[in-house]
Amino acid sequence: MSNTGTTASNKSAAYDYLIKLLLIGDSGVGKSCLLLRFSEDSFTPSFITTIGIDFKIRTIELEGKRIKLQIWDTAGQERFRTITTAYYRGAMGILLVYDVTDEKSFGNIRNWIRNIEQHATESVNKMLIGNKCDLPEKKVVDSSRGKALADEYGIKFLETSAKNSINVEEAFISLAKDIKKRMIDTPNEPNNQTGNAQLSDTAPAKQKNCCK
Amino acid sequence: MKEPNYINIRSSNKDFLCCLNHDRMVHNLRGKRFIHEVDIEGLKRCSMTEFGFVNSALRKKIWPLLLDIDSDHIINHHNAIVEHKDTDQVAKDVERSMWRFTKGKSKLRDQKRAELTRIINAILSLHPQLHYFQGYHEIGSILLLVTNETLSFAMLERLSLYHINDNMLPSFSEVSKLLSLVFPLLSLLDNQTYQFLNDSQVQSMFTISWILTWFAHNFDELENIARLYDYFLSSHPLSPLYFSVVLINHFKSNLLVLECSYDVVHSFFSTLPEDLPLDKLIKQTQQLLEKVPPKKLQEKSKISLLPESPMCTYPYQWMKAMTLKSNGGEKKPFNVYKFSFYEMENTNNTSKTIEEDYYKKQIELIEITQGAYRSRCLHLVTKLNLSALLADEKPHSVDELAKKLRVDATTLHKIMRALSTIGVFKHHDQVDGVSSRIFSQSDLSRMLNNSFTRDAILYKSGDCLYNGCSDIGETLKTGKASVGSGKGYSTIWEYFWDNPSELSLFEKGMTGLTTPLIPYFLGMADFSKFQIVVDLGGSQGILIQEILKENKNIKKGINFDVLETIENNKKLDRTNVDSRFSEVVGSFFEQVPVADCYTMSKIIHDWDVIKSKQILETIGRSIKPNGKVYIFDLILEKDRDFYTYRTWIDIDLWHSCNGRQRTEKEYQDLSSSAD
Repeated sequence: MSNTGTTASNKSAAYDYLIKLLLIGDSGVGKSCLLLRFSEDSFTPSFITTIGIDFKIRTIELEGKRIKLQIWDTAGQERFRTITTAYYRGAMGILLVYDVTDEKSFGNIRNWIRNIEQHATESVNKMLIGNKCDLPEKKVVDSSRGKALADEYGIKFLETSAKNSINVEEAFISLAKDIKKRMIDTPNEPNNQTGNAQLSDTAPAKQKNCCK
Repeated sequence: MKEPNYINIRSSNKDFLCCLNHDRMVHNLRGKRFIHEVDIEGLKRCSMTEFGFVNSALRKKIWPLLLDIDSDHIINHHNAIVEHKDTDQVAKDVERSMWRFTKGKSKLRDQKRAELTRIINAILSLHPQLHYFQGYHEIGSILLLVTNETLSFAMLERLSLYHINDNMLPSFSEVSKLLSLVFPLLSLLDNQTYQFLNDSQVQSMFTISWILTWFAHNFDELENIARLYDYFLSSHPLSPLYFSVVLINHFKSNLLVLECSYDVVHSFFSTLPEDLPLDKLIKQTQQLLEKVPPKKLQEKSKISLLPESPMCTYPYQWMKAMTLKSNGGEKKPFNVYKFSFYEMENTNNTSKTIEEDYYKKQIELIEITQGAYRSRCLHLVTKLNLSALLADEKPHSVDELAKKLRVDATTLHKIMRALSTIGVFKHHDQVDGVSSRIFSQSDLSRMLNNSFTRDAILYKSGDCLYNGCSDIGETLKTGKASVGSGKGYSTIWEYFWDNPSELSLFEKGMTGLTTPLIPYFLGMADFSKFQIVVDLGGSQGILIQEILKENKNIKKGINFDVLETIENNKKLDRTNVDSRFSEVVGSFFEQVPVADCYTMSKIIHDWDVIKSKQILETIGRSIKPNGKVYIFDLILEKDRDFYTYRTWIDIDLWHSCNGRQRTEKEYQDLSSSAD
């Protein structure tokens, strides 16, 4: 078994590397549904509001390596940001999600990116996701605008549907691939100086007033 | 929701709570001396006793009382609604609310969602200083599902301005403080649990939905959440936080064996079991609140909530006024009464004895009615072959067993726990008490791995006899066996012949019941002088095969039974059967093969005197000189073993085929009458 930072040698040997992802975006854009589709390949109309933060696990195989994806899902309401940003630091990849039928959620992507810049590590891989592409008649954010915004920040872009299982797998796996490439395959390149630090199993940043 | 009146009787202490919401009953009790109106403090104490406020009907009356809601003077909130800063967010959250509690009731869901939208928007419109948070809607949902729109509006408004006001400030800064109080409080409750969580580097973030929604977000059963609300509404606004800490520590033994990492711990707490011992946890929470009051907690942890926070100014002014009012008798708190046996004891000693005795006897009777559940539950675990999963004699968790069997873990837990009280399965309740989910094999459950016992149980508790049981009234009326007629046949035998799978269950069951008895038969009977032995009604032929094994002198051993059974037997493995064994089809009311010995095990007990005589006469026509008939049946005598068991078998036989258990004399009479 490989010996770089993320190895699972001290845990159950069911995976070679652990990659932590984070889902952010406005309330109701479908973050939890994307995660449910990816982790359990299911969709439920009876979804509930995420309160705080939670995560799900799925292990995938990439180029012969078993990658355990630990994907954190956050509450979308703005007032939760102050307490969920502690989880940004440990993330190796972040999916920024908006709803193609909700102009406001698209407009807020810039705010979410600012949040990432403030709280996540600099080299974190990002991806822009326009969810609910199964509703073309209600679509208000054109694909070209999504693409243009992604290009502006130099990140990948996909339109997805958690409901109809369109591009969900592709989104998570493509992000995981990029992270693997950056951190595991070429961990010593200059732009990855912080890479190894992230590879260790860091817990979310503790709040200042956490006691002894 | 229609729910019965409930009288909560706890014999462990002298407080009896009697919550009655039918005027008639109140009236009856009003005449007695030990009744007096409850005060708010009494209700608060009641929220910490078993079952809290018991049911929705009572909660609907008591919850508004606790918040001093004057139901006659609630404003019409419909008119208050205006557009506000969180209108969209509220809509998004309401649209995803109440699924869990309205399964299959879309009409109710739509109605309650509309109500929820109105009450939240009204409150936010009336109080622009309040900031909506995701989770607020879940508190509103619970109030609505238990009470009604008007009361929920008034209660949620009250809570927003007081108990949960810190969560509704412009930012979550105070919520962060609440979260950071969790671990210090835990360290004061149990240092080992605290140390483990601290080492895991988990953040108290996993408690945020508990604290923000008062657990409305975390249980599927409304009843569980309502039980917690009984207490939270009666208690300090920090009680949900204290409860969270008690809850964490409740899982201590499960936690300490986990991998000590933040993700494992966070994930462990992301779903809570539905069968938590809430009453016990609430008591512990109250003890913790008394041991480490909020003020002391803030000092010790050096985390200070805002001094003007309602968390720090509890109890509130209106509460003090409320106590005065209720003491002064100005306000009559509905039909909620409390009486205590302590008082009764002083005034009337005998009535206590009578009440308790009555209660015990009633329970004794009700326990008898639970026989149906005992039978069905034993049947289910036998059918599922649950004992096979415990064959390694190690403790197993009910969750693991349920997963393997693909059944619901909560139900299986209840079934195994109940069966363990009558000897089937061992419940490991030393550490976690009755909520322990760990079980292992017991002497009786081990028996279920024996195929004969299993077959016997599957027949005796199977659908044919179990469902047939309910027709016993018909037998009582007519004196004629009704199991068969209840299924549209003239006798149970015809039902079996027409239903091969039921017949097969019966045959296997008979083999299962007979096999353990064969050594006794062989010990009692002497076959050394006989050439041909016929077992009449031998079902699968197990008895005659054993007789052949033990008696090499016998030339021929015949299993005699009806066509359907002998046909069924062709499916059995007969490769190693003695070459002297053969099977003959026929009816013992018509003709039986010529032989010098006949055996009948559990046959005569199926028939009345006339039919029994007919069988013996049929035999008489074929039996060789100096031949012998052996009848193996249980004898019903009080001084023999298992008298109770046999009286019920007697009913079983009578109801299914007008058979019976006979006394020794009845058998003697029968055999001499047929000579």
